[in-house]
Amino acid sequence: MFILAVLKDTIKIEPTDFRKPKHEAITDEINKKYANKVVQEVGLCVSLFDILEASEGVIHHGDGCSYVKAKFRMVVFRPFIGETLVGTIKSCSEIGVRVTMGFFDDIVIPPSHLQPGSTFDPEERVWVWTYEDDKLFMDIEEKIRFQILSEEFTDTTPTPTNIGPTGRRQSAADTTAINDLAANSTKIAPYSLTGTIAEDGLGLLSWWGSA
Amino acid sequence: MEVIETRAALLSNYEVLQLLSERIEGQKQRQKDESNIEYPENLRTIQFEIKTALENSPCSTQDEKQLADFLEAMKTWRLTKAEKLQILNLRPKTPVDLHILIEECEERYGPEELEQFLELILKVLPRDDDDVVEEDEDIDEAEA
Repeated sequence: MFILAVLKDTIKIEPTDFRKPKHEAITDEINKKYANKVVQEVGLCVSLFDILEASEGVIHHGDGCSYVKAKFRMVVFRPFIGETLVGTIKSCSEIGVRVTMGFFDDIVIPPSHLQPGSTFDPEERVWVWTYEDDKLFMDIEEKIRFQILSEEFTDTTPTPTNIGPTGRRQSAADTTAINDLAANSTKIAPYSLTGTIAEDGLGLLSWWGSA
Repeated sequence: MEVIETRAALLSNYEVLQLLSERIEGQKQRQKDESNIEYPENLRTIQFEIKTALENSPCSTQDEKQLADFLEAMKTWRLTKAEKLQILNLRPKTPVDLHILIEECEERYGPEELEQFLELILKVLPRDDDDVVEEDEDIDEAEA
């Protein structure tokens, strides 16, 4: 579920941090920039593992910051396709079951990959698996074991098309309004996983006596 | 930013939990020594959330000796690296658990072999809260 990824980046160290030892200053900057952030095609970054290489700091004119080129390893959350994970049900809806790992919750199990014979109860808002006349409810907060079916990365950095109309110069008020709208509209997850529980042994832990 | 290698190595949940616990301790120590050091919220959030999640998983009671014993015991079972990693992270207890972790399990191992395998896991990765205690908890919950 966790991997190490090797990245290279130019790290900016502010003058106030010059009092720190160099490796601490670089570590702090990398963690500030990457922790809890998704890097496209890499995964959800957790924390710096170690620094492999770091250049001498260079100070450009214009600001007093020191720029260091560093090669480092990050701890990253990136389960492989087919990996079995145990999470908790966060919510149920018509589009499927949403699962959280506690630190990552863009995981959805679509109806087509629930146990065969599962139906959605619109009143209770839960999925129900009918197995040999037994009704098994997939309640929120229950532990669930699932396998990763696919992953998807979506670049959510602003692009010219979603910044807004470009016909006239934008006033500050326009920009704020657009930003507000963007924040209110449904957020697209930068990294999302699709899971499956359509196999014996998958689903709520209580179903298989391995809670 | 440049990505040199996406999957340079796999980490077990135990390793991640150890690493984060050490980092959190180290950060606290540094803050004690120099009170004006602040750690960014994004770092504190992810460290705390992953630590909490892993402390509620089988890796919370593992130690280096258990890991070494586990890897030694797995040598004769012809498992892939990914299979071993998942067995370590999830610590299967029943044959059903094993079937989803091992590919083409039925063709590779007989029922008796699987029983032996489960016993082996219980032995090399011991936990205090096995079976008996858990059943008690279930009863307590039902009564409450």
